[in-house]
Amino acid sequence: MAAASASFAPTALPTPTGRPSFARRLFANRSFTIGLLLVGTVAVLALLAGVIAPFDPLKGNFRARLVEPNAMYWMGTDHFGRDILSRVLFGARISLQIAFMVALITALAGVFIGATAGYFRRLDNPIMRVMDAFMAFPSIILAIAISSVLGASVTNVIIALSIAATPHTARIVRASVMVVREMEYVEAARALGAGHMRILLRHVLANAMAPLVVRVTYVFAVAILNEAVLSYIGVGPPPPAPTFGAIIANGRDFIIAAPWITVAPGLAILVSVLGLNMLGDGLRDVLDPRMAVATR
Amino acid sequence: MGRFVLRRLLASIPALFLVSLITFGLLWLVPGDPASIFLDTSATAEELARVRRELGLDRPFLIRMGEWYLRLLQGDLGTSLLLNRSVTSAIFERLPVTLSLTALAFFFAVLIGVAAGVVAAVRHGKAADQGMMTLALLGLSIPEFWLGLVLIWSVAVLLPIFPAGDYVAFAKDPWQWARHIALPTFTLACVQMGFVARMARSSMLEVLGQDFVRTARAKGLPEPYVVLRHGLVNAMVPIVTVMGIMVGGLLGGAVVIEQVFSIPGMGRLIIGAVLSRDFPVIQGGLLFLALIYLGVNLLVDLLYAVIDPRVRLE
Amino acid sequence: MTDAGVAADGPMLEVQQLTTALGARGPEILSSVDLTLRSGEVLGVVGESGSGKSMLALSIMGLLPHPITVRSGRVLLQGQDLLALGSQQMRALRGKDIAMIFQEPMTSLNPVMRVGQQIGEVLRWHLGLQGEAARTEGITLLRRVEMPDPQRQIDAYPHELSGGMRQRVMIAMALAGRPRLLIADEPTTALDVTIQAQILELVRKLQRDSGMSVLLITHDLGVIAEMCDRVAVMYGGRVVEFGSALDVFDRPAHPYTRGLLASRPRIAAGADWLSTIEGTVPAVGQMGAGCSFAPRCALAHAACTSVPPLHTVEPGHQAACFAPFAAVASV
Repeated sequence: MAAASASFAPTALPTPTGRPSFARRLFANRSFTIGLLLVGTVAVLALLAGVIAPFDPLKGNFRARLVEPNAMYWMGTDHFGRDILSRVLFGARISLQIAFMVALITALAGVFIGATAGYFRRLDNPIMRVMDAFMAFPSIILAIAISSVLGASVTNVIIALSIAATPHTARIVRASVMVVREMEYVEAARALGAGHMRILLRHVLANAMAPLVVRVTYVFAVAILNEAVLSYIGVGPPPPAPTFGAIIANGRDFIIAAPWITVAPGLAILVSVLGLNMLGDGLRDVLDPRMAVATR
Repeated sequence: MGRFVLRRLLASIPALFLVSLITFGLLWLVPGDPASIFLDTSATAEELARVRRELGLDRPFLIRMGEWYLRLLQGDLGTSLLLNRSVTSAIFERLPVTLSLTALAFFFAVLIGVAAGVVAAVRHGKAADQGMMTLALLGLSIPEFWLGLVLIWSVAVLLPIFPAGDYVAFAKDPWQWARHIALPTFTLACVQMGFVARMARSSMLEVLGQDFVRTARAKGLPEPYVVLRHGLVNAMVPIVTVMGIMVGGLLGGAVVIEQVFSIPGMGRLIIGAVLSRDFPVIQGGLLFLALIYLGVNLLVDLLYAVIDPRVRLE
Repeated sequence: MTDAGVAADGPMLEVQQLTTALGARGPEILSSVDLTLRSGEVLGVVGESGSGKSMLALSIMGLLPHPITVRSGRVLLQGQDLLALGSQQMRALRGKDIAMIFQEPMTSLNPVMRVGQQIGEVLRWHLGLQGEAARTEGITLLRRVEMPDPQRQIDAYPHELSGGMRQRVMIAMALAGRPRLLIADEPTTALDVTIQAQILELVRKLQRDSGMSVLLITHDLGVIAEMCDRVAVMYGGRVVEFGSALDVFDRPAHPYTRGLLASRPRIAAGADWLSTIEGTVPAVGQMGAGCSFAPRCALAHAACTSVPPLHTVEPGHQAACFAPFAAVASV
């Protein structure tokens, strides 16, 4: 009985193509692309503020006070006659700059502290206790207190917001580091004589990248929100800086007569933060869907 | 269970110590002389000295710290530079207002957030799911104070359904109290609802895919019962975690919302202190809020133990 | 092995040409599955992972996970077509007339609910028992499944029990509604070997006492030999052999069955090599036309390009092969 199996090879198995590349998956994610679009638009407009703003955000035209949005003043003017559109554009620039710095510093500090705590067992407990103590303060209140104590300036706002955001970031990094530390290939590297620093950098941090990137995106978003709060209350960058919060604060007294002063910057904040949140969600879905269950 | 409670209480002592240390350390951060920052440039040398004495700046660091802790244990948070009264009494006077606002907002945020999350999970992938999650995303992207202002403009000024601010004590007039607190509560709850809804949804999705839910269906139990009694109960642990974190956001948000709606609570006290550099009040308020938050997180831990008996073994 | 008496009333369960697939246009998971379970009998369904045996169980119960649906066929429980029932009616049957126990007792029980309450749910919703009556009946059930110290264990949480005890709880929950048909999906696979024997013994005893019909799904031929009156062998989503356990074990007709039986390691034989079946089970959607086993079959020939129907090869014994009983020259 001849084994005629050859004629029965199953319909050709598709050659394993592997998953589509990371970049492709990323851009296929709707949340990511819409978020990127929103944030990108705001960022580009903010960067080009100096070029595209129709008026000087700080100079008021007393004959054009509280003008409703029209062909000349697309977003109207405030009680000093300053063009709201120009102020919003420059406000975006300041706010994005501040938020970016906060995100950067938080990332660096969070990685440093979190990796140290996660990798060196003896340092873990004391470091995390201090982090927990900082996390015991509602973050916006901590930021307000630090900012007020340090004094109003862009740098101090950045410091205050970074301090508020770092502990949670450190915790996330620590968690990833602890997972990888236990993995066998790290033990193997250690057995081969690789030094601590080398192991830390190559293996451990690579694993921590995904949650960190997602977290930093959210930190960026929250920084924009919190900076607006600080400015609104009056402990943000000092006047005449046209930050979003400052514009809204200015508009508060005229909310009945000139609601546009309040509406425009708020929408700008909403769009930026929404975009960043969607970006973060998209990144999270692509990088590690399991993280979708974790808290932010 | 009692032992579990005791263990958790003891574990929070180091945190309490560190928190008060951080609060104490705030004064040390001030660049320059706190007294002259508080008073303006026209202050006399006499006034400066008085304030410095009040803030304890004339004594060595360690003694100051010792005094701080000693007074803390007696419940004394210092004296307000501006109002010239005990910080503790100022806080307690305004605490009920803030707590009631925060508690109401918490209640609504949890109720609506969890309900939305459960519905979204059960109708996974369909229109209800997408719609609710989009709303949730919008909610948590919106600046609270701005939302408050917009609501004041639209709902209090354009169509005056609600008053635009102020506060009426419940004891004085329940109906007015409700009217006045409605907008602030809604504004405060809005943002947090988004967080809760998202977490509730993802937690429910995970739980509904588990084997024991399949077993419950295999026993022929009605689907709503399965979703709630088997699904939601098991999904609660991550949700309760978010609830704890949410209180932090609510406390922070309350501070700002009180400002927007002119509500005489702790938030306004602290912001007033921040703007006038009344350091003892800033420190006292910060510490107090942190204590409340720590207390809430302790309750959250206890709640875990109630929901999930496996936790009691830890 | 028990007597496989043919019941006076018709078969308990008849699966006729059941086909399930992934969505409306997706690949098939079960293809034209036919089998019959007589009243009071234990029918074993054996196959490797990927053969579709668990899907068969879920199809009967109406618990197919979302994208998978039944495309055609009938599932008759004593003449009543389960697939034609509305969801409410099906729900009324589940847990009461048909019960199912699953493979992993740890994950299959609600971790935050006491065991007694989980059994009590069935008693409450299907039998209307409440409070004290439900508790008493629960203890009785635990006693029937030979749970040690039932008075205490009824208040236990699943994580406080061992694997064997949890499986006993599953069985108690399944019996609570006095089912006519019990479906057991790999009930002992996740348990220690010694516990496996106890649980199987228990199931056999319960089956004898109550006369319920059992559909036992497993990949373990030893379990089939111990427990089953008749057996259906599944491969690639189809039933390839069907008959009494004695017949199938003694005179396997289908080459796959022969391969399975031959691949059991025999301690006494002293062979150097374990006999295996070359190749692997094709994934869903990757089966070629024709007999799904053909690519791995040493006996495949031209006729095997069409799907062999399940036909009788000797009284009470069916196989889906064009060359049943054909001998293979040993390698």
